[in-house]
Order: sequence, then structure tokens, then C-alpha cells
Amino acid sequence: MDSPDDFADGAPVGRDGPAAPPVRRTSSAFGTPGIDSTVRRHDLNDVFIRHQDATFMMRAAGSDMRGDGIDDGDTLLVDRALTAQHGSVVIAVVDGELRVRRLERAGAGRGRRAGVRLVADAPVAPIEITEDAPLEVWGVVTTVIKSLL
Amino acid sequence: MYALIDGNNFYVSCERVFAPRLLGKPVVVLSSNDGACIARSNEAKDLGVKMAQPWFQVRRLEKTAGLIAVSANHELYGDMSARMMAIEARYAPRQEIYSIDESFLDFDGVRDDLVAVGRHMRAAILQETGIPTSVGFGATKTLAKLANNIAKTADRKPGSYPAGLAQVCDFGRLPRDELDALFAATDVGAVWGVGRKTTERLKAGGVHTVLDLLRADITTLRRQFSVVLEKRCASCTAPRACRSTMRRRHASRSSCRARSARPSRRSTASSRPSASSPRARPSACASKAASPAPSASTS
Repeated sequence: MDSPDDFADGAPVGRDGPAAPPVRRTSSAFGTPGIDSTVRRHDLNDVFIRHQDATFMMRAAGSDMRGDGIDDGDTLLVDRALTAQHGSVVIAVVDGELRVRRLERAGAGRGRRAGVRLVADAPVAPIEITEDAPLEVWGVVTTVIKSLL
Repeated sequence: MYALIDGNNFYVSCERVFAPRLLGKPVVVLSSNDGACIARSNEAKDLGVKMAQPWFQVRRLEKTAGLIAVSANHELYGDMSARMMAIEARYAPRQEIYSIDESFLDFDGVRDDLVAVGRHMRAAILQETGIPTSVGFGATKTLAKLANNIAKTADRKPGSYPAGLAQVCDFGRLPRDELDALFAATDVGAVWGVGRKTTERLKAGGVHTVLDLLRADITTLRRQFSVVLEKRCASCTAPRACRSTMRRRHASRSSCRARSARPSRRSTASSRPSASSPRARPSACASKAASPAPSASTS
């Protein structure tokens, strides 16, 4: 149904009828600003992904990162081209597994040594980064997608 | 200058990106129906697992040496390949994707320090995709392949070649005598297009290393082996010689009726070198972000 010829006489035209083709083949009418100035529809890839080649989707399992807005089953966009900073939510390699954690760089405080740690919601113990267990950041979580259905 | 970039143990490296526990362990990727090993980690190579070796022959290593076998996930490899190729394409004006994990870049006219370019590219691919690669630069594609082979071997077996050539190797930067020393240390079978049988015959004739091949009489090579070998040999010495040989080959083909009537033999010989690794084309079907979604545990 992409040419005007497809509309037989008396065919219902309206909400339930076939949609009118956006551009007519014959210029029997005036141009319409709405057609002349169409823009491309937003593509979620462009909106949310900064580095196409370095971004991966992951599914979160568990709810230890609720405080950062990540629930069980959420889809995460993970960008490997970004450098993690203090406060970044990252995918880290811990004991050969991929884990979601928040990266914190903290100075020495009460009963706390200065250093870098990977934290999750209490009561999950933070993972201290030491020379024996160096930090391995897999990627930086840029976006959390929640499905409400 | 051409560059050849390829992924180290590509399928295994792809699996390791999403399963870091496989790092440092002997890993093989098995073909469809888990028939044969189609990719081996360096640790698995050290255990003696051969390319395309049937799984039942090495299965005992699972218990005795901790060998880990993974079934092939070709969708994943295709997607990772597309990412890798896209990153490589940033570095040169022309790219020829040669297999799922190999591509040639044409650096003709580029005057940068190619080793620095190679290292930058390698680091970008490693950071953005997690795949370790090797980069070889040479005046011809054959030389780029050979340089890549040396870059990879120098990285995998320290001491086999000068350590400075590991990961990224640029023949264009080496003086003639150093290049000859490299060629003398490289088995003739490492040359692109010199397969197992040809290697055997060459060695029987006293040609053991790449240097021997270059010093062999080129007309004898053509008579005893093939124009293809002559071409390979020529493209190891000078790119111009390579081109003229190719032209001659095409001329003789079109003027020889017997051969053009039976083109299959010659075209088989001149097609790609023996495919010991599967040469799947990178698939363009998967969207960049929609790679298979592995899960990351928060607990």
C-alpha cells in the first residue's frame, strides 16, 4: 500500500484505514512543512552509547547495588573506553568473576586506611584494592535500563 | 607499508573477555558438536594440543592438566571481530578484512612512526574489546604476515626473537643484516602460502629457513614448485618484483588455452593458504551493542 493507486474508490481512510504514504509520487498537491522538514527519529544507540565499539550490554544479577539504582535483572550498558574515576560504577574482575561495584578512592580516616576500594550496599563488605589483589576494571557502567513490564 | 593485525588465539581470547577465570589457564574452543579444537590458548599449545586436533584425543588433559574446553559461540566471535575491525579502521586509510580476526591496513604514504602507531592500535583494541593482538608491518602483505608471525612468537616464547619485536614488529625499521638474522631464525613454513607439503619438499632440498628461501634460485623454485611460491619468495624481497611476477602470471594464464580450460587447479593453488583456522566472515547482523549479554553479578 505505498502508492496512491492502492486506494480503491470508497475505501475507508482514517485511523483504521491504511496510512497515507508520506511522499506522493505525483506532485498534485502543495508541499507540507511537516514532510519537508522531517528529521531522523532518535536512535537509543546514539542517545546512550558514546563508544559504539567499546560498549557492551550486561544483565545485572542480585541486588547489592540497589543504592546505585541497579536492581536484579536490570540491563547495564558498559563502556570499556572510559577510565573509571572516584564514584564510577564499574564492572570489576574479582576472583575471576565480573562484579558490579562502585569505585571509591578514599583518604585515611577513622579506622580506615587510605586507598581504593570497591563498594556495594551495606552489609556487603567493601573489597580493598591492595598490591596483592590489584584493581581490574572491566568497564564503566554508563546506563541502567529498567523494564517496568 | 602494509600492516597485518590479528587477534591472539582469537576465539579463546573472546571467551576470556567474558569469563576472566579462564585467563592463565589452558583453554581450547571446540568446533560445532565439540568435534575438534579450533582455537587454543598459549597454555593449551604448551600442553601439546595441535590445531584442529579431535577433542577425544586431548580429552584426558581435562583431568591430568586442567585443560578447559569451551563450545564455540560464533555469534560472539562475529560481534567481537566487527568491533576489532572498526577500531583498526581508525588507523589507516584503507583496510582489507582478510578473515574473522585478521585485517590488512595499507599505510602507504603514512610517515608516522609505525611502531608507535601499532602499539597505540594494539592498546586501543585491548582496552575497548579486551582482545590481545599482534601487529606486523612489511612492504608487502607477505612480509606483513611474516612480521606479525615474529611479533606473536617473540611475545609467546621469550628468547625466540629480540624482545623489542614482541607484539609489534616493523620490518621497515630494521637494517638489512638484522632482517637477515630474523629470516635465518624463522622456519620456511612460516611464510604465507608455504604449506606443510611444500615445507617438507623445500627442506628435503636444503631450504630450511626464510633466508634459505630468499637465497634459493628463483627459477629453480618456479620449476620445482610453483609460480605461487616464486611469487611469495619475490614478495619477501621487493614489492616491485612481486608485482611484475603477478603480471606475468596473469599473462601466461590468459594465453594458455589448456590452463584456462581447466582453471580449477591453478586457482586452487593460488587461493588462500591452507585454512587451518576457520575463515568465517565477520557477520554484520549483530548490532554493536546487542552482543550476547553476559551477566555481571552484584552479589
